[in-house]
Amino acid sequence: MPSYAIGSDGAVSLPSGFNATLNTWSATMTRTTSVTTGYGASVHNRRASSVIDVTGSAGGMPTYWDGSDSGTDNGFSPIKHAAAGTTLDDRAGGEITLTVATGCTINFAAVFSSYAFGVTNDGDSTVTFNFEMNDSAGPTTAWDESP
Amino acid sequence: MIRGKEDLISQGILRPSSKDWRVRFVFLDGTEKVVRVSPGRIDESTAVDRAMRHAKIFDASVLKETQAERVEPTAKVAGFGMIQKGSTG
Repeated sequence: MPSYAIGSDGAVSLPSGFNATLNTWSATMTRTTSVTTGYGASVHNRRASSVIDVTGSAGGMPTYWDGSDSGTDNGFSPIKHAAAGTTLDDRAGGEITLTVATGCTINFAAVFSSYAFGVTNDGDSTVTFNFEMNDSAGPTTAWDESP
Repeated sequence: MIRGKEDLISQGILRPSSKDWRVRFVFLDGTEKVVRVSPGRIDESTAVDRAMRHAKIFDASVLKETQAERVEPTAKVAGFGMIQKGSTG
């Protein structure tokens, strides 16, 4: 019998240098399809590529360093950047871990294509990290076989 | 409702295969953790890296031992050390 894919035990881990209190993620696995229909046909036929891509996003509340206690700007701010100034320093991206359910994860390396920030009048502040896979090994899934 | 790996397997999100990697970590205090990594097309070192990230092990110095093996051996070895004919794994 079917079951509903709901639960509250998801999570996401971003590469070091990216910090936020995250509460949502999404990922889409895609592959290119090509229409192979020729003249004379009345319907479309397609073949799908074996090359897999993953794109997605993770969103939540941005954080920053208030300057007190021990810590660094890069250790708390949402975007990894150069020590001085605002130069982004994340061209190579890093490993992302998406937790689907407790003990079950999807892992891959990705680059970040954009960061979307938003602030509303009532004080709600959000950040969304948009990422694209950059991984010669492709995405992998892992799950616990022991506690 | 998603409760764990069994539900994810039934929904096709996790796809176990006999080629998967089974990575066993033994910590300094003797406790063990076993992680399965799929698909099996990745090499052993990548499988160990992915398993470490899955298990949130960011410092290998907490480990006493790490083993990685296929869920099912790709070749069955007879007791006297010869590979059996017709073994397909």
